[in-house]
Amino acid sequence: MFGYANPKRYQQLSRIILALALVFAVIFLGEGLYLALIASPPDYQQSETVRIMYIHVPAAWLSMFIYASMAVAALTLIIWKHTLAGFYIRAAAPIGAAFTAICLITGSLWGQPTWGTWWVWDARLTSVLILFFLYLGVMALGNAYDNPDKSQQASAWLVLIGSINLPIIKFSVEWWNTLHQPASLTSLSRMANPGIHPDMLVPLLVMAGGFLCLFVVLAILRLNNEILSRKIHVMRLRTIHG
Amino acid sequence: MAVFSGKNLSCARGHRLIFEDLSFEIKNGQILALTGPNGCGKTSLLRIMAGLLDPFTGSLEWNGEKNPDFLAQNILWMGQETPLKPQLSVIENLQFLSCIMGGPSDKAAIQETLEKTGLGRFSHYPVRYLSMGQRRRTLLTLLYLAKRKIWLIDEPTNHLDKEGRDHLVKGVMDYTNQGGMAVIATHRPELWGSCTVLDVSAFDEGTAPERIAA
Amino acid sequence: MKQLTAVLMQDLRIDIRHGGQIVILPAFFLLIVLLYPLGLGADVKTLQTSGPGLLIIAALLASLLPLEKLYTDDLKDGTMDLLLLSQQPLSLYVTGKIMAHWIIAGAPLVIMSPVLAQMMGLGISWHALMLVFTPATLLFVLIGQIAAALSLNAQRGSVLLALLVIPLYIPILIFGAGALDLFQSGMSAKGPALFLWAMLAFALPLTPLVTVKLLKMQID
Repeated sequence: MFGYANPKRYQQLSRIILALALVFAVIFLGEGLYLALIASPPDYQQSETVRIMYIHVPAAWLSMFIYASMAVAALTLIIWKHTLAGFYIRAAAPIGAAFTAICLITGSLWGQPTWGTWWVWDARLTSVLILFFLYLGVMALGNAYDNPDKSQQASAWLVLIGSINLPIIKFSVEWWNTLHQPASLTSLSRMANPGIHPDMLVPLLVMAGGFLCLFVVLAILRLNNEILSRKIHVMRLRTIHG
Repeated sequence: MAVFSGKNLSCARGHRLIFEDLSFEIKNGQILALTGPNGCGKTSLLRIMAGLLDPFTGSLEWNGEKNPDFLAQNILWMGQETPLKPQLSVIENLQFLSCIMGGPSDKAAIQETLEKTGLGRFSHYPVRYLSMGQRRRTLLTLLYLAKRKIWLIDEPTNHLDKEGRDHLVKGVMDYTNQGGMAVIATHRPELWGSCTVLDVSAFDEGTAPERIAA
Repeated sequence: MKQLTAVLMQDLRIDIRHGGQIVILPAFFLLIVLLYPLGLGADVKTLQTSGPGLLIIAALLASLLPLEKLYTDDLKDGTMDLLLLSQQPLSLYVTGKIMAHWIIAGAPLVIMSPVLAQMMGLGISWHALMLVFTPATLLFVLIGQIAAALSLNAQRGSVLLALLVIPLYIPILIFGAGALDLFQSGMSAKGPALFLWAMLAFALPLTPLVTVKLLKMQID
């Protein structure tokens, strides 16, 4: 009576997807790393440091993709009260935060040789930093209540409110950036992202596919953990209250 | 004669069934006392009756009809908390609560009711000066003011001395004698005269089928 | 309507009877502004260039403080239960709360802003300040009370609240400071100022509805 919408089907499906994603993650990441670190040419301006891009850019894509997927899950939880969606938000948030952190750290490492500074108050970096704090808020709220159902609902609402706010934040940060930013830096950041050559685009896309598969693997593993820990919670409640 | 009833109610909290397949019925002029040990779901049942908590299964009926709007407008819930602001005077608190519950909010009417509950002298005292018993009595005044058909009261005799208890019991009795209904969660059903007693713990998950067999 | 006024009056009464945030918050606002010259030096030029941003940041921090308490008492003492049983929609209660909270924690900051702008040596007219601070403080209240309802009775409530609310405040800060900046340099500040009002027009009808949902979630 208290099971998930269809636990058997979820378990079967998740096992298949997990196996597939694991295989593809290994293939894509292996291939992608080879292409990115060895096969692809160094940049004519940035030489070897451009290789950071193959980690940095896919991480940035994933950080946004995961938040969007959480927003869909939040809607599913709030409208259809589908429990699995609540577990998904809890499972995905730390992974999203990790990809966001990777994006920020590699961005900083890339910035040092390219721009000559570890951190630039550039519109993109700043919005990603704000996204990171949104992830932290979702994670904190997901543990804030003794009643796990309430925690799930509260964090789903935060994800939703955040997703309405994100475009506004993004727009405002860009507006702020054009107002305050000295011109030299914008031209610098344009230099870092010129039109991209296919030799670089292919490893980039392969890496992105690898990251995506990695995310699916991690998310399913975490999702299963969440479901198990909820089962433990229910069993404990039952033994205490008979 | 109106009948307020619940059919096959069960209550789930945190993925645990607290009680299962519980039915009750109460008519005008009756008191229903909910008994049972702590944690057996007395408060949850009251909150379900008040519409503050959705039952996991089952439904509430008024004269055999499912009519949640009617119920919401005719139920007054008094939990274990006292919704009084300590900074404001007794009369200001009651003006506010009576206003949101659709009772009179003019001072004269409230003062008059306060005289009836024996708090007339304190009406301009801030609530923080009042003892626990006096606060419960202030809430009793709200029960009178709101003029609703069903009172749901959770452990009303906690914190009360004998005088306060007698006062409260008399208030509820008077109300039911005039045709009101009251459901009271209590550890001491003997206080409430010829009330119907419902032991909520008897509907514990898993025990219900055996009970029927016995 | 009667219920809305009842909520509004009760909150104002409680605040005035009890210590009065309506007095303490402007003092806190002033205190934060006082920290800047002490930290950055009293050089008029520095204060003038950073002043617009500093004023908005000070107002943001001052608005953060009273949020946690907003719905806590009513949830803990059972008032919220009675509100749900009243015939009136909960949105009236939320609207009353928001109005009271702005009168207590928003309007005093708006009124204080010309004084503080003078102290920072900013050349911004008082009506320009009103034009920016009115929507900014209203937005602080509207968005802040959502976060307050979201983290109601949570563990580590106040830190959590700050973590939730500050990222959401960022657009208000950017457009508020931007508008003041442009006003100070004598340019047209229509863009950012209008954006603040547009956000207000968006948030005003939407936020109370979200809060109602959140409060219902908190009650069961």
